[in-house]
Amino acid sequence: MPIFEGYFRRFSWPIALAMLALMAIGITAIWTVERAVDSRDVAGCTAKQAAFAVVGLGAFLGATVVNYRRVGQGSYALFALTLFLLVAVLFCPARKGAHRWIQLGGPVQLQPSELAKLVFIVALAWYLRYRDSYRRLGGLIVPFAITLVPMGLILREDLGTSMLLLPTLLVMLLVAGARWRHLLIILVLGVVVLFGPVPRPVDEPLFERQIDKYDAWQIGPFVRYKPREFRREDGSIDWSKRAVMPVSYARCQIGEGPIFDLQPLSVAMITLKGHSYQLARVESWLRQEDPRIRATAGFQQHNSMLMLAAGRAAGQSDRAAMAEYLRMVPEDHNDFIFSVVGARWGFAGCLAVLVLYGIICLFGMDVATSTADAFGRLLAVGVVALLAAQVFINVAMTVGLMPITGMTLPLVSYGGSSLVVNCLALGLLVNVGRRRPISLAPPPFEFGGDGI
Amino acid sequence: MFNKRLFIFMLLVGCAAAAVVVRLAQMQLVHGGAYAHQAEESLKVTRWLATHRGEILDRRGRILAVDQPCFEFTLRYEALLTSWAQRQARQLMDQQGVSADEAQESVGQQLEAAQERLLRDHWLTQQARAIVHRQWPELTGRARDQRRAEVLAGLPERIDWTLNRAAETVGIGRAELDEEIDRIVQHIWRVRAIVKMRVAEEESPHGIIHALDEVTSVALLSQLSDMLGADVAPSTRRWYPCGPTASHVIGLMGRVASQDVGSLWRPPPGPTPATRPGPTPAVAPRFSSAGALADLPPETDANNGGQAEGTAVQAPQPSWPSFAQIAGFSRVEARSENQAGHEQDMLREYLPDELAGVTGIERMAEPVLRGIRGRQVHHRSGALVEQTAAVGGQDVHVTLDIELQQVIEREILDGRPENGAAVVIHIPTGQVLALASKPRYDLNEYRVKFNALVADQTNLPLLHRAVACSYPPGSTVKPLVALAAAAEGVLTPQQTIECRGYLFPSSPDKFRCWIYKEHSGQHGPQTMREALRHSCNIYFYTAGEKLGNPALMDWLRRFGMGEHPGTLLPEEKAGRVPSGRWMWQNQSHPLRLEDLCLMGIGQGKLEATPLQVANGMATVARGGLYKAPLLVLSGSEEAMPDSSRQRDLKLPADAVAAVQAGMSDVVNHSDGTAHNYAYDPDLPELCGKTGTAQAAPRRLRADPSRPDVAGQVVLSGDMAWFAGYAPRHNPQIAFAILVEYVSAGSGGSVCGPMAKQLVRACRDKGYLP
Repeated sequence: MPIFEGYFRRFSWPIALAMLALMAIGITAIWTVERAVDSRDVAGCTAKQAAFAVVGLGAFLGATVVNYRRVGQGSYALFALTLFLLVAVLFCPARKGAHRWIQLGGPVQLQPSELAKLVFIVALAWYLRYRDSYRRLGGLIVPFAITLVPMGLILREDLGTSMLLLPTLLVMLLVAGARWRHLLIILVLGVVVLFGPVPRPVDEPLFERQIDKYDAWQIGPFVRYKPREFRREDGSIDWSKRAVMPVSYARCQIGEGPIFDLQPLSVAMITLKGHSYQLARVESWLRQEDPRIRATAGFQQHNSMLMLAAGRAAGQSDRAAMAEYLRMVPEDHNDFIFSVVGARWGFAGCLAVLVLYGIICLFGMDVATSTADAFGRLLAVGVVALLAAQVFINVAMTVGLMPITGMTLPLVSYGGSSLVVNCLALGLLVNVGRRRPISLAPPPFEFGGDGI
Repeated sequence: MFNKRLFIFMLLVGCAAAAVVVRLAQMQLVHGGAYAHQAEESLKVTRWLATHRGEILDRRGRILAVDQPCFEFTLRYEALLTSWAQRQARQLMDQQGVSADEAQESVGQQLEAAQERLLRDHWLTQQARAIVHRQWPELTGRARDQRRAEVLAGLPERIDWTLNRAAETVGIGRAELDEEIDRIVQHIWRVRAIVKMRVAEEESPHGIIHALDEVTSVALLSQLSDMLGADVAPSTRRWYPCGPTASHVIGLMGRVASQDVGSLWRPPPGPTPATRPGPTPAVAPRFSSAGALADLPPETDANNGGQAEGTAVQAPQPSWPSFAQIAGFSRVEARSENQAGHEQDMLREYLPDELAGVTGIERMAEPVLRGIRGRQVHHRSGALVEQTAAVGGQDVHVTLDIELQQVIEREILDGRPENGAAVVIHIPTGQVLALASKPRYDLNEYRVKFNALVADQTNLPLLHRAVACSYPPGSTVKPLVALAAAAEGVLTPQQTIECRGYLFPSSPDKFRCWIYKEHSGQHGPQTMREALRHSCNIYFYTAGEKLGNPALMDWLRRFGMGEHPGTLLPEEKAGRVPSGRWMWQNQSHPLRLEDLCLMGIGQGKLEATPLQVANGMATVARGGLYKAPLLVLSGSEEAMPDSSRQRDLKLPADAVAAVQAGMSDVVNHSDGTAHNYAYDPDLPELCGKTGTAQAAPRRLRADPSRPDVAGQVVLSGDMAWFAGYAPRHNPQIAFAILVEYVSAGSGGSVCGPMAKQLVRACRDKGYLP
């Protein structure tokens, strides 16, 4: 039939199949958790996720059918609507301690920050197409505004999602051909904001009382105080005696001056607002070895790592033990679904999931290279970048390479908004691929002569 | 350019993926086993198995204190927490009567926080499931979930109902129960805040109603199936069959002090503590150098002097090795040298809220009485992984005869309205047969009556008067002074001293004899024997003056005054033999001649406990052989052989004979001060010495640091004493009787009849022929 013939022309089957496989893995993993944990949080999640998957598939198909350029045309309006929703959500009642969800009547809820990710890509791609203004430093203002406004709105309630927007912006600017030195400046600025050392005064009376827990290293007038390592007789570190320092590079003193901590700028800024749970997560990530941390702020991450690693090569065979592990990790059907995968199917399962994401990325990039349309290209790259960043951050926090940020694993984690939005994004990706020219000769004479 | 940049992006993604895959491989493939082991360990739950505390037995094997099986009503920690959170929320609502909405919101937040914690504990959800399971067949799909959620939401009410039911069955107030729950929950939270870790107590049930008898526990057991998180567990309680008898000696159990939590008693390395050879070196030198003690008093004396009237309860300051040291135990903070040792320490160390001996023998013999608890390691799924059985504590035999003690307490001390104390020592062995103090309290009801006991500042019922309270010994010290004077050669037994009724002719209103005070009379010339018979003050003023400093002090110390008697009771006091230095520090003047004179008749700053006075009498009866009083049979005998517990004072025989004759005359001669009160021809021949010591009245709310705050006098009068031994020849028992703050009467008239009764009681119990 001609309609379907037209539809399936250049349809990226691998992307669709990988997406389906990931959704299936996700539902199975959630079912594993539901069966074992049996708490009010998890009850009925498998069924709900299956329903979301159906909705997601519909969204995916819909997104492949519409003309994606039409979406682009409406992107600014969509962007404005999303901003409105992001403001509106702040006035909704909090759930799990955060204003993230808008109640849409009945059990249906909308998480606007998930929607914002996609709308942001579309709007940015629409803005950047056919332009070269961003090759000047001043021209970067608008792309940054498009990023920072929603980011600022999400920042307070959903740090993880907001942090996702910046790398996506950088990648889109990169492939859109922004100048290297501009990108470097932005990168350096970002690094400075995140890691730039700033001094912060120390509560000296408290420090005086614990001074015997520190070693002092002196180089000229510069003194550095380092928490002493107390060792037991069998050589292991006695963490219970070790001083607890705030997140900082070092505790220093110059001459007889005041004692101060050198802290990363971002940490200092968070500290200004008081001791937040985000800081506690960073702290618990830095001190993963400390049993005190493992039992308190870091117990989620520690237990998820234990559960994942205990899966070893082929997955946990002891079902009862598996159930007990699953009970140890709260939110394991959600942000920590990857550790459930690791526990149930082991290294093989983890690798399979990563390979599936790899397939989506590779074929997504294939779509990007083979599309002539500038908007389509940027859109495809944006979707791939967003997906890759999410996967990396989520997996990295699950395996202890990063602090916990509260990020779902796209397509696998439990959560309707996330699933549907990711399906929409992949639908757009396939849509772009579907509309590329049938036979595309390589661009003539482009052998890398113009440099990168 | 686009493709190349895209390629760079792909490279970035590839690097990130590689990093993640390497990390995964490292965790799951390389260290997977170690992680799995750690995960396995984190699923284990340790539960302690209670041990059995040793018994305390008297010299004939009668039980004074024993662990008695009973039951306790326990509740899971999660249930305790639920109940607590609920009450917190309700309280908040009551206090914030301002705005209903506002209160509702903060309560909601509180409850939400508590519930989130609770939901994390799958126990509650398991409970809900168990309840729903009963109706499982009728329910399907969504209805099951709904019902489960309903039950889960209703759990707090169910726990509340459980508590009400339990309180009703046992017959205690719900408020009492809530108090106990608050205490447990708050304690665990405090510990959590300190160690910043999940503590083992959160995994286990906690006893909230203790010491239940069988009937009540069966009544509770029958309702368990309707209750939530509740159980009736076997437990033990300390039971004292003799009730108030010897309560001060046996002592109390109490929750272990917070600074002792984590410490433990480490046993001697040998097979059993009883076979430890030899005394600790600290024992022998103390005795051998006792005679050579110069003007420097033991440090404890200076401390004692700071206390008003020496009646306040003080921390023990043992100059003796403690019972623990003798038994070979050492107290250590639980720190491991190796894994096995650490695990042993864990079983021995004090846990928060654990019961331990606080006073008396319960405290003194704590390391021996206390057993080693066992341990059970369960997998979270319920399987038993590992088990170490508990080891019970050893019994402790004391030298007391509990029947004699009972007679003395009930018939002799209770015969007088005033408070007092009585001590009986077996002369040949130095063993303490009775150590009574009045008023007493019932050990079994101590907890119930605690507030009243502590509030009674007039009678101080918790004070162990026989060993922990020092009094001016008065005339009971006169035999010792006479022997000292004879041994130093300043007076011979035949030498007479003229008693005119007062010491200095120039000032007849000072240093008077009692006969001058009462009858304006005089004793005339007195030999040693006569002086004792008449209790002539002038003779002993002179003796004290002639002995001088430091001979008088040295001799009093040799008789055991001013040093810890060595019963090893934690309450035991050293009394006071003031030295020149002590006088300077506490009285701001040197040791003057008049102080020596006063000490010659047992006044001035001289103070002794009834036990010391009784032991002084025992020394006189033995003809100058001092033995430290012995209170515990097991352990200490072998560890401290007689040679380290006794010393020969090398007294001249004629003086001993004169003093013993004088003491016999006190009762048996018609002129004796106690003849009218204590003489009974049917009884074995009793030798003794009366004493009527002046003492400062007991005041309430006095401030020792401010002389202008005098406080309110609640008790005043003399301290009436009678101390002695029987029979005269081949003496068997020595004793001291004290009655506090006697308003009318003297040592003879008050304590003489009591002495007669005491000798009769000892004869009835077979300690006298």
